[in-house]
Amino acid sequence: MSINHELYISIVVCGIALGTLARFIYLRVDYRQYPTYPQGYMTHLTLGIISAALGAFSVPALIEKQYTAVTFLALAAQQFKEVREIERASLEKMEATELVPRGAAYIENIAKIFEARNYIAMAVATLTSLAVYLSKSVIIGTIVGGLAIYLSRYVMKIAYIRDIAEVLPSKIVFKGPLLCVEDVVLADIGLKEGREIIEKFGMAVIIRPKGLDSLISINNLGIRQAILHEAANQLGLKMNIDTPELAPLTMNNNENGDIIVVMVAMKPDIDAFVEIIKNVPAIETVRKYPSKSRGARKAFN
Amino acid sequence: MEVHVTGYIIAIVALRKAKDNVLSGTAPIIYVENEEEQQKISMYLSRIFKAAVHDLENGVFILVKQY
Repeated sequence: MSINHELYISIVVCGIALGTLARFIYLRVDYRQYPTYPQGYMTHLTLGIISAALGAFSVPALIEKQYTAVTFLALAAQQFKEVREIERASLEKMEATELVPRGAAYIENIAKIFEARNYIAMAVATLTSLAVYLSKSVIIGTIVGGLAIYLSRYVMKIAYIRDIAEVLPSKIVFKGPLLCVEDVVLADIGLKEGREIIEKFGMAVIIRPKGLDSLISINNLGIRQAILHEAANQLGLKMNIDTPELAPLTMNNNENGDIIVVMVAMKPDIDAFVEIIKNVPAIETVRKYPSKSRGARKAFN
Repeated sequence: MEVHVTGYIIAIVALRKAKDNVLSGTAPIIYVENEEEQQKISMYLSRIFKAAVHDLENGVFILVKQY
């Protein structure tokens, strides 16, 4: 079975266009997400076009019984894995320059999302070209593609801290040199000067998990590091490299599993601090679901 | 989480009257006359070595290297 030239063109063009659009939509510049600069934008858009093209060409190739074309998809998967490597490597290199690093878990999460976005572009392109081929209509193809992009949002949906926990403002209390929040000792601050700054500009919040799953997840050091990184990068730190006593801290309350976050910010606005922490992604790669285990359920009930 | 107390002691700043609370180890011990001086010396050392100062509440301050 062969496809006539015009249909071939519309299958491929439509697939590439919708696939690239999908990648473009996910490439929105975000306050936290790398890339936030034009070069990174270009790199990822180009890779998006390539993956869309692979998806779009796969349909006519299969129809024309060019089954070897499938091997190209395997090649593409390899290529996307490379994208993940690139992201990871570049973020890891920048870790040394961060006062509060992202942490391995957060980097891994970002890298995985970047890889997945290319698969989305490819899947959307494939669906679109298939729809164009079956219906012989560009309009229906575009509609199907648009619908696929819309539905892909559910696949790519990420959870935030606000979904798994409550974030409540709290107060820092000094007991002698000990920095305490709700009777939990976070640090021993020897310098009077440091204590004065913390009392003046320090903020504390409590992250209270909503259930067993979030209790275990929120105790993960990767998520806690991501919270510190996000908060520090949005409110600014008083800390410098030679004032380690002003470093942001997290500590778990071993009575109830709450997480306490303390930060000495340039702009100590507690409402903003709570808002920022609520919007930190609850890193999917380190989340645990012990409620799915019978043993864990028994222990906690 | 390398922000926590994971480093090593680089210096000990102790009041002379709390001499019995410290014994020589790997870190140098600096004796000071009063608490004011203790704060000052600890602050200088903290800035020089990028170390955090911890008060043991027995007249002894330890400086722990963080970065």
